[in-house]
Amino acid sequence: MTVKKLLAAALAGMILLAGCSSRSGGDASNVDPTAAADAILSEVTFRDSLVKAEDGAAESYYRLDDTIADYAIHISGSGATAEEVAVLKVAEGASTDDAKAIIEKRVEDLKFKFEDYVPEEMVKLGDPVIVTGGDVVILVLADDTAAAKKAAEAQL
Amino acid sequence: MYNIPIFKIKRLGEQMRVIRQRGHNRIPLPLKIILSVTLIVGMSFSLAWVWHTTQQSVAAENIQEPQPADSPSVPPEDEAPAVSQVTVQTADLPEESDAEQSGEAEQPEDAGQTVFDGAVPKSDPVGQSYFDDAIFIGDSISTGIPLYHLADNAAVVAMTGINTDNINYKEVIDRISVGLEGEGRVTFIEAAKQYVPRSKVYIMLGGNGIGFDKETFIDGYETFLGSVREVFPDAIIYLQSMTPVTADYVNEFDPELNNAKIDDYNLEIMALAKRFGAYYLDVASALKDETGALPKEASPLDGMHFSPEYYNKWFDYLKTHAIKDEVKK
Repeated sequence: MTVKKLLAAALAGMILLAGCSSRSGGDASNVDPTAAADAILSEVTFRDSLVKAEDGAAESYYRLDDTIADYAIHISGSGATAEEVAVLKVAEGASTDDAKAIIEKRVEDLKFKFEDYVPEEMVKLGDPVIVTGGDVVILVLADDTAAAKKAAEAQL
Repeated sequence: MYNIPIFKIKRLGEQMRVIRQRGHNRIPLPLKIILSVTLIVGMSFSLAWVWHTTQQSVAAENIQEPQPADSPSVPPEDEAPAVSQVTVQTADLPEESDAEQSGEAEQPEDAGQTVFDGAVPKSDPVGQSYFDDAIFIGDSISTGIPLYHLADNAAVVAMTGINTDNINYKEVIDRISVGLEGEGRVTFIEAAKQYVPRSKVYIMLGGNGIGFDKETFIDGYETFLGSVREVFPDAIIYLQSMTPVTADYVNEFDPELNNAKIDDYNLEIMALAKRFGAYYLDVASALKDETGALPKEASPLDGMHFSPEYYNKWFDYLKTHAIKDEVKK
C-alpha cells in the first residue's frame, strides 16, 4: 500500500514538473511572427530605421522556400548597417533546422557585404543572436547583443 | 425590313414632284442668279482651303521626320570626338522646364525633337511599365530598389561596396539570386547576362570609388560600360549621377568627400556618357536642397544613404527624364 502511494506521488510529481517545464519555455507554437518582430523592434535599440521587407523582397533576401509557413523580416532601410530582425515559422512537417539554415545563409551574405564595406558591422555579424523555440527561429542583429538576445527569447 | 405597297411609293413620288414643281415656280429669276453665284464662290473657297491644308501637312511631315539617335556602339578612340552631341527624341515636353536649374540641356523649338548636350531633359512622365524591360545596376544605393518596391517589374543587380574598378572583376553576385545553378558568386556582367535582352540599362556607380583619382575612376567605369554594351548592344544605357551627401558629411564621416567633389566627378560621368552614346541622368539634382547638399533629414544615419522618401524622389526623376522606347528601335 505504501509502495503504491509512493509511486502515485512520484508520478504526480513528474507530471507536475513536466507541466512547469513546458510553461517556463512558453508555447512557441503559437508565436505570431509579425507580433514577435514588432515586440523586438520596440525593445531593442537600432541605429537605422528597419523596414519590413514585403513578400517579393523578403523571399529574395532570405531565399525562402516552402519550409517556411510564415515570417516577418525587417532590414536596414538605408543599407548602411547590418541591423536586422527576422522571425521565421516553419511549415508543418518541416524542421526548425531548415529555418536555421536559411538564417545562417543570410548572415553569411551580410558578412560578405560588410566585411570590406563597413567592417564595424562584423562585430554583430560575428555573434548573431539566433534563438529557436517550438516551430520558430528568430534572428536579431543589433549593436546591443545582450538586449537582442533577451528580447528574442522573450518571444518564445 | 418594312413592306411598303407599291402604290404608296408612287403616290409619294407624285407628291414630291408636286412639291418640287411648286417650289420651282415660287423662286424668282434674280434670286436664282444670286444663289447660283453664292454656290460657285463658296465651292471655290472650299477647294482652295483643302489644297492649302494638304500642302501644310506635307511640309510638316518633311520637317518632323525623326532622325536616328547616335549609334550606341563604341566608336574607335581615334575617331571618337571628345564630346559628341546626342540627338534623341524624348517623351513630350511640358510647358515649363526646370532645365536651367538642373543644368539640363536647352529644349529645341522643334516639337518631338530634342537635341541636347548634357543631361537628359525633363519630359512628360512615363508609366511604371517603362521599367518592364529595364535592368538596374549599382551599389548599395541601388539595393534599396527592391526593398522599397520601386521597380518590381525590373531586374536589379546591385551589391553594397562595389565601385567603378572592382565591378569589372569581383565575383560578388550570388549565383542563385540570378537564376544560375550551383554555389558561389559571379561578376556583375555574368549576372547581368542572365537578364538579356533588356532595352534599358540604368547604371549608378561611383559613390565607393570617389577616392580614386579621376583617371582610375573613369577608366574603370569605361571598361564596365564597354562590357555592358557588349551584353546589351541595342539597349538605351543611362548613366546616373552619383547622389549627393549631407553638408556635414565631410566633417562627420569622410574629410575627403564633399559635394563639390561629387559634382566634379559627375561631370566626368556625363562626358563618358556622351562618348559612349549613353544618356546622362542628373539624379543628384532631384535629391539636393537649395544649398546643393542632401538634406540632413534624408540621411540622419550616415549622411549618404537616404530614406524611402528620397528613393521616391529618385524614381520620380527617372520617370520624368526618359527616352522614348522607339528612338532606339
